[in-house]
Amino acid sequence: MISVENLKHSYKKNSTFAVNDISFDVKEGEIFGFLGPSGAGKSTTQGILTGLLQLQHGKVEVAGSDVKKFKNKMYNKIGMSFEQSNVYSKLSAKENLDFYAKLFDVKTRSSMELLELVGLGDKAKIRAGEFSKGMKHRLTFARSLLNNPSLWFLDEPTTGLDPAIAADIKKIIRTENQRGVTVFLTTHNMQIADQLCDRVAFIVDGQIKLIDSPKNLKLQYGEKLVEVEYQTNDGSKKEIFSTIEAADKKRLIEVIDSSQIVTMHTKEATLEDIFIKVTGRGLS
Amino acid sequence: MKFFYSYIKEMQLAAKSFYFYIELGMAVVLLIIVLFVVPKNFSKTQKQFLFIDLPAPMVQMMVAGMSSSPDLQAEDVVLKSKGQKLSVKLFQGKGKKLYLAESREDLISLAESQRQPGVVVSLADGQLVYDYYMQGYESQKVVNLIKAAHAQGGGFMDLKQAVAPQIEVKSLETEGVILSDRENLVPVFLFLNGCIMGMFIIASYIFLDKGEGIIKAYAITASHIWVYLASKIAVLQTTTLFTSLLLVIPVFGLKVNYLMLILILLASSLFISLIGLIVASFYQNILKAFGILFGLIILFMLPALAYMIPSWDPLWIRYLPTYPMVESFKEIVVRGDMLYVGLASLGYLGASILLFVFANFRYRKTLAV
Repeated sequence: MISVENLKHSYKKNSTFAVNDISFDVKEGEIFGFLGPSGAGKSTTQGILTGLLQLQHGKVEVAGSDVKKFKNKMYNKIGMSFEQSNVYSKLSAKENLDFYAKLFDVKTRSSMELLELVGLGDKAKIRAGEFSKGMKHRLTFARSLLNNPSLWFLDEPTTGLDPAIAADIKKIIRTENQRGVTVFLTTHNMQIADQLCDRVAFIVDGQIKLIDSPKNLKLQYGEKLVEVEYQTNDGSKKEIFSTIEAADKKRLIEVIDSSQIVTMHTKEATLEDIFIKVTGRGLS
Repeated sequence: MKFFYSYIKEMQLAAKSFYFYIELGMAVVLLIIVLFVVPKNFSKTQKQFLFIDLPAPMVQMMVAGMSSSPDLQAEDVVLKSKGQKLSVKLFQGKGKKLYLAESREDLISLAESQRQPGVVVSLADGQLVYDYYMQGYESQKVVNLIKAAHAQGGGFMDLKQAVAPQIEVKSLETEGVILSDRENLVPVFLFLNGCIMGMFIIASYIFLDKGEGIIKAYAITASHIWVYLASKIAVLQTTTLFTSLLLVIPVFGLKVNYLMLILILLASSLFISLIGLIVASFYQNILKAFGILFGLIILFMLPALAYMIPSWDPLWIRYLPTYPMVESFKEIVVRGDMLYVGLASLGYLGASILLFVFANFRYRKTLAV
């Protein structure tokens, strides 16, 4: 769905690159996470992929079209939810969606259906300017679904949302993906990437350090240990067992059979741990 | 259809925005000024103050002479000056008012408070002496003229009689329409309201959209950026047309060529709004663009200044792109050269095509900024 080869971009058009020689592919129907700290080059890459920024170096194909030859019709296939909410504050939520719906050449989804989907059904007639930051963000998110995109760009889709709403948004992303929508997810939130993405790319200082599935990364970088807290006659006790060593495995089964388990955690690494390990950098 | 939807949406937004009401409010204020503040014709009556410091019989003789003149009406009046009430005799004729003061002190006080010249006529060594009390801003030419008038010792009347037969005054412009002072202001107001304000307002609309990130969102649709720009321009043209006609119709009624007026209004507002769009494409917000916008407004207003001061019309000012706008509005109101108006409109339309191509290029290039 997306093919990027040797992409470079310099805002000052000199040798300082915001994105420096990156290559990757996004397969049709997958959720691809583009992860990195602020200023890593995520938005620049997304800007080029969506045609908002002009391609300077490299080759980029999106939905079968060279971005250099992007026609406006292409945007009938693309949806984009921006990190910064960008809706007409003087129009109501419904007016916003109704207006944008008229700018596509394909059958669009009902504005009310989308507002209901993001929990703004009862706010349809309220001016977007009166919305909270989170509500504006949901409206921007809903707008990106208007044209039933087959390729969906999401820039920090859960930023500023409370956990319940964020969970709803993740559910919508999964549902759309199950319907065959390819998702390009840009975020610095490793948790959402871990929960949603089929594959992730770590980008730092304009360069991709690694691309793999979260599961493979955890297997590769995580420790194969289980930490168990169980009840004994002398109180509670904590032990760590290897999930590979035969003696540890035997002992773990004994503990489970003979004791009351208080807690049990696998010691697999989080995506954030792996990111720090691979890039040597934090996410903030 | 996308242009139509964008235009309707832009009209909706404009109607909900502050800038739309600035434009409308300005048109209403200008209309009120033209109709109720500016007199149909400014008074051209000249006021002069005179004190005759001569022996009483001579004064009585002169006053009697003036009072019996069929061209002058005599009347005793009281004028306020510096908190005092001063009794004077007024001799009123066509285009002039002569006030006869009772003392030199009264004359000086009146000349100062009314900011008009005063003359004291006295006698010294059997000769009439004229003391002029001027305001201080009169040019040396005026002073020299007064001196020349007295050079022969006979005063203005003798001078007039001496030179009148040799002087023939001919007007170069014989077919011009004489506008009232009220009508004379309309071309400048049309220019200020429709054109100069238009540049500022369209830039403001763009900065509002930039602030909300709207242009980026628009770019990720199956519509074109030129549609977005064209709908903004169309909104401005609509408001310009509306506010301009609001000004012209009450003052001129059916006396002007509305077809040509609408043509030049549409062409000139198209041109000026494109300049506003291009300027806005280089800046992120109105504060950063204010310097260049202000500079352009001052520069573009110079032709209006030249219109108001007919004696100041340097050649270079004709090269300013707004010069033909003011001239066209003038031709419209004087029912003058419609060919000029048509050519100016064509010129603006032609230039606008090039500017539109450039504006489209700029906005496509700076979408993500």
